Amino acid sequence: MPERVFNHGVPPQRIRTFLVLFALALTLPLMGLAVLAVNQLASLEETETERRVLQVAQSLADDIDRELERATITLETLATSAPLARKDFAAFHERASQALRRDKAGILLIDRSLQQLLNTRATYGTTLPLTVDPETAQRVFDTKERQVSDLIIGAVSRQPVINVEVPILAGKEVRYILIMALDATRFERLLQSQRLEPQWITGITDKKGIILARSERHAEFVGKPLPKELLEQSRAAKGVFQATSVAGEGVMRATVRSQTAGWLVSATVPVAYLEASRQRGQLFAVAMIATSLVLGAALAYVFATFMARPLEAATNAAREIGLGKHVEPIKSPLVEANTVIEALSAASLELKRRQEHTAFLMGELAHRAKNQLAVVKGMALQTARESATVDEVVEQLSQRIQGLAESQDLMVRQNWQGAWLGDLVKAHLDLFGAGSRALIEGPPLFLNANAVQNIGFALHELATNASKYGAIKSPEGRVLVTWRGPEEDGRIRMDWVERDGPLVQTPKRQGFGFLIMTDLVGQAVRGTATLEFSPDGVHWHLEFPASHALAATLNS
Amino acid sequence: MDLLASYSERVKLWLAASADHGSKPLAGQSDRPDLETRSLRVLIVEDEFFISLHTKQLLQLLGHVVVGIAVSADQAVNIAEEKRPDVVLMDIRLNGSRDGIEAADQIRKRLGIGSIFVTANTDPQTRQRALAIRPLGFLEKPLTEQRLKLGLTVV
Repeated sequence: MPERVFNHGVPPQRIRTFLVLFALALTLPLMGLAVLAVNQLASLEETETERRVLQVAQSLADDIDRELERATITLETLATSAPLARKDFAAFHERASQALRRDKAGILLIDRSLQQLLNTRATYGTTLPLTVDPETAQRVFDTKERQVSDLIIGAVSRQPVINVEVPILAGKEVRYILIMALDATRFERLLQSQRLEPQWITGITDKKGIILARSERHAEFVGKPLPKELLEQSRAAKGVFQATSVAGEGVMRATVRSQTAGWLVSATVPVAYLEASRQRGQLFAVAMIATSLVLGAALAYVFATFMARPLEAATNAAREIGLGKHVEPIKSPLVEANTVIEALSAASLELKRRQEHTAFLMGELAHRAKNQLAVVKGMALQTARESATVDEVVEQLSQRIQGLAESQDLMVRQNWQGAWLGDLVKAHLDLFGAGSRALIEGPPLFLNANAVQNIGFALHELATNASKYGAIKSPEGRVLVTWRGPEEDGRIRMDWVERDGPLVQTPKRQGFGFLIMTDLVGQAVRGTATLEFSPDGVHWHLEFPASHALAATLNS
Repeated sequence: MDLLASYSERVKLWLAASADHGSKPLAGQSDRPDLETRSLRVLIVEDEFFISLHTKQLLQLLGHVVVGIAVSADQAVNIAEEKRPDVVLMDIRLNGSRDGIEAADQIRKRLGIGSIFVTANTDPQTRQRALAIRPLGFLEKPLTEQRLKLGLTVV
């Protein structure tokens, strides 16, 4: 039988190999995806960081603008106060001081000669200097609008401050300038109030490029100029860029210009911090992938074992069957393997049963063959004894052996269990060509082997006799074979009646054939047989116990 | 057992007739001194009449007397009880629900008469069962005069 090809050229492998390949087939694309995802994640993180840096800078610029707006509103409110209108500077000093109660700032009033008329940082009446920031004051005189200075050192406070200056008009002319001097530390606090991670640094640089405030080491850097390169980068920048900070550190920086003051508001994150963060992320991702792989491999090994071991057991079971051994069913976690082994177990049992049956049949065959040889030997000797000539021996023995063969044929077809009585009668009549003109009638009875063989002997002798002297010899002759039973006495009764044949005469001598038809067969089936030679034809009658018939056929 | 008696009688006649055709002489005749042994009364248990007839003729050739032929275990026990043979030649496979081993066992236990099993080809299990009832011997089918003579010497 040709082998069915399943492998498509793949050399045969153990299931463990295929399971490993299967696991790799699942894992490798996932690992590739994971690496891509990690890279993508890093890129996204970088974008997110840039966005956040820019957002922080923008948010700070907005806060600064709001702070300056607040100062402006305070100043504009004070500008309209009554003491100022009536030039009661002492009262105005008092009012302004109260307005700044909670702020680290000072309020100044200067006239067109840039002379300070009052300064809340000094006691009213103290002689005051000229303003230190004539440039901004001049812009106010020129524009008649609010102006914000760059970083200056307060003439009274001697601290770095910035001035918010609003004009006080008299008609169309600027009569005074009301100034709020805000300490640079106020902006330092504003920067620090953003609650960013400690690595984040924010700062404010004025229009001249002087550092106005810084969230870290403010005192060290305030008043110092931003490095030229950084200043140019900051001024030209749109969005986020990489730069070197004033502290000489590589940073990611975003600079946004304050709408109110024109200052540069910046937010920076050290590149080293971002790198470390990215590396931490990558390390975490790699650790996750490695853990997943190890865990996955462990689980794959466990599940592979669940599959491989039962299949190996099934393979061993098949090998055992090949060696003729019995296979016990197993209970494994693999349903398919259980089914295979169960089938193999059943097959091994069936194989064993068949081997035993074959051995039994061989023994049975040997027994029957030898027994039949003994029967034939007895038949030959008896036939020889009753025959006068060698030709007669040959003819009679040949016919009797043929008759025996007919009975055997029927039994072989029924696996040596026996034969149907109707078939038996017909077979023996057919041997003499009389099956078709005989009336064979009776209930279906399946006789055991003993009855088939012995009744077969009698039927053979009857048919032989009828073909020589009786109904079969004559073309008009009829043979009626009937049986009935089992009757109430538990016996089956059978009759062979010949009609319309030649005139029957009682034989002078009762030969061996007569003995077979009567005593021998009768005794062999534990019944009785009689043979009458009436002039109308021969009448043979046999009675035998129903135990010779298969019980199942008796009621049919 | 009238049937058997008349049948035996007829067999004797056939033996005489067959002797006319030049077959072996009858047991006990002076030209066969080797067969001059004690005459035994033998019961044949065999459901194939061609075999039982042959066995009977062999026994008679050897000078023994066949007290009956049974075709079933029950019949064997009945005839043994009635005729009290010296030995039973027992076929193992018999017509009916009981086999020759059961019949031989019953006959030995009840009557003290031993059996020689005559069998065609016995499987090991059946042979073990047969040996368990301590038979006088085993004889293989088909029987020959020599085999039978040798087998009966144990009786």
